[in-house]
Amino acid sequence: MAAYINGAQAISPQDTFLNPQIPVELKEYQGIMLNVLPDFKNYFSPIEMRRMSRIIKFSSVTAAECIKEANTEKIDAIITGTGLGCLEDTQKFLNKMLDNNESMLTPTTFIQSTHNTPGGIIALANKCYEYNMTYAHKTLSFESCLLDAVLLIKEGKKNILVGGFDEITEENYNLRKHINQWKEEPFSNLDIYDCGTSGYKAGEGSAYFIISSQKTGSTYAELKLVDLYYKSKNINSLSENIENKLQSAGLLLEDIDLVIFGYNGDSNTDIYYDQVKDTLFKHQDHGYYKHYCGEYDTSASFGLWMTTRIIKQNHVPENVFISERKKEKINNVLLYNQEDNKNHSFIVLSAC
Amino acid sequence: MKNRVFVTGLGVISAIGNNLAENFSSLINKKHGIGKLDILDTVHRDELVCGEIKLANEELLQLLDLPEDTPYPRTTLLAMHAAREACEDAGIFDNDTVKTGVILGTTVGGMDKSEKFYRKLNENTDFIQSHNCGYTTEKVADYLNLHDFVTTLSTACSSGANAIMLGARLIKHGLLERVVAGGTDSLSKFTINGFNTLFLLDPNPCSPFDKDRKGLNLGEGAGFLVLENERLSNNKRRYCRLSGYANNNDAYHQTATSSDAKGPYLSMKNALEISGLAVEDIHYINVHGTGTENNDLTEGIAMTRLFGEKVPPFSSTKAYTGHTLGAAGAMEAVFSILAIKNNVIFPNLNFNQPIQDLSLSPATVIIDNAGIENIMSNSFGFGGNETTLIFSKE
Repeated sequence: MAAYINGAQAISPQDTFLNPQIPVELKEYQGIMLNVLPDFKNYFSPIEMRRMSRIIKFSSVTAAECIKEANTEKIDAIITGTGLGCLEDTQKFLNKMLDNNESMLTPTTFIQSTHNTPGGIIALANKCYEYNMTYAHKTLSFESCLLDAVLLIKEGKKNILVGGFDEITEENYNLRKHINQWKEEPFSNLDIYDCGTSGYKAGEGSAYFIISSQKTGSTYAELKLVDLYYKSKNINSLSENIENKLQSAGLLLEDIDLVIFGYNGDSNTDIYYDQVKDTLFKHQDHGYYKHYCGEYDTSASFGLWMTTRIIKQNHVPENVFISERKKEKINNVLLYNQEDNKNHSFIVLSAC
Repeated sequence: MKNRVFVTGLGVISAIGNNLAENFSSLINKKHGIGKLDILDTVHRDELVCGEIKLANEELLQLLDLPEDTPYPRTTLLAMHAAREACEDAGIFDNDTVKTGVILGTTVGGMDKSEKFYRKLNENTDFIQSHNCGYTTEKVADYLNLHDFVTTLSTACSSGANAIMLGARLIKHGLLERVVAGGTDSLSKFTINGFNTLFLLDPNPCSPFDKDRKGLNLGEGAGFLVLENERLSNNKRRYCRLSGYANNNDAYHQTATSSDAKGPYLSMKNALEISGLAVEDIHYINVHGTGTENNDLTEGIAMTRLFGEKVPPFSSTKAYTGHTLGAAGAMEAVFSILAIKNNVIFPNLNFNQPIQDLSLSPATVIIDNAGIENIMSNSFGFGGNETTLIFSKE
């Protein structure tokens, strides 16, 4: 049973919202990469504007526009992925609790702190009583959603809304300075590839997709493969796994035209991409995307959004390439993301 | 999708026992674990009762044979303890090469540690990395030396049940042969204060399904199942089969269930459909039964909608353990399977009179030789997230 991507929308630190194309001009950030947000007043009532946190708003808006784009009458499931969930609400409740010694607290931020709040709110907005799941596994959160969606298509569901989102806050950014996660400021997002320094750029975003069993006029691509792999023992077992999985999807290594890597600028871990790039995929074209969106747990969802545009338009913007373009037509794109050489994910999209 | 899914191992730690045998003994002897907090340091200590596990983190580390300076949150330690028991129970050994997944449900991950050190960064920064939900899953996988597939679900109080459901589906689709699936959550000031601001906590031991119920008691713990496909479990002890599962959304309110209980009704109905069973085949329901005004009423309405006049015997085990949030669905799956294996129905504690308009009374004494073939277990959570699992004798 084939799965197609019939809707794809993203809010990110670039001008991606409702953009049918990948922006050619890249916004430059020396510090945190924050979302370029639409005017929320067009989407929410004054009460909702007050009550809902930033992540709930940008997640909801992305989902709504994605559903609209795919023109889906009935959604059979809503699957969301987020590394840290509703961070701002979690911090607000935590800070107030610590400030006031566990007294004078109000419930709103607690209620809205759970990871499945955005997914529940989308169900509410669409009166969707169907399967509603939320994954929260670091950099595999979004890919877990996609895998689940593929299973649901095989189980006979027709249209599934899948989204990945995370927010960055000033407070969380400062907190994570203590464990040296970030690039020292100033450092431009345009310079992350092969920069030779440790740490990465903090980013955020939300990207939603409609995964369908049917091809329609709005189809971007076929979702051929989703694979999650934990702790490869060495490069050989990782390569072997990729080849086997491609084979199970009816693909050979040489069928892949373009590999888009999750390079985030951290020289300590980007070497693991280099290994795969220079061995297994040395004959393919190579690209990357985190200079657009920064690094966050569900950044692969931005990579997927970008890939939908690349495939549909058979065009790779210059900014995306890290190699000379060799291929005329892009039929199959592999998206590879990893964290600390521990959590690996592979997604293959094919032109259709 | 023909692959059948069997349960071959169980593990649990809760306020009523550190392992399977202790939990079972408490359940059949009506021994609850609700009382004053000794370990968690909160200003609400004197006004609340909870289902706290009376083992300090240092003691848990000892039981796990880990160095005393291991920086894991309590949530992680509880998960490791229960997951190890489940694997030992299923006879999984270190050198085995079966493709095995580890899937976990949790609500607040490493919050117990984050809230302790959030303002004490000079003392400890480990919590920054152990805060996320996936951290525990990876620690469990590493501890058990299972390196194939990991993922984590966080859907509030149905997280543990959803982990089990995903495990079963991955096996059914032939993507994995075996899954260690469960849920975990430790008590934290964050959740205690959260539920307290919602006025959902009963200051006394809770009384699920009673007319005068006043709310829930929070608890902590972890529960794990080892799920295996037909081939692997063929010559092993099989506790039972996971025959049905469903998740639906109530799409009504962030924290309350709708008055017609649409979500809970749908999850029970759809799980039944997947299992291929009829309503009269269900012999016991381990209800979500938190003891809150809203949950017990709406869960009762959903059961009446589905079963009509013939609602099967049911009970909530939350008056024993407290509501363990992300662990609840998995712990109660373990309890349900113990009920099938031992052919008993566990009594619902602190029940006096049925809820008006419902006239549903849970089992209040232990029912032996209950003739149990199929059990339903419900887990409902914030965000309208409703999950039902069905376990069958064979």
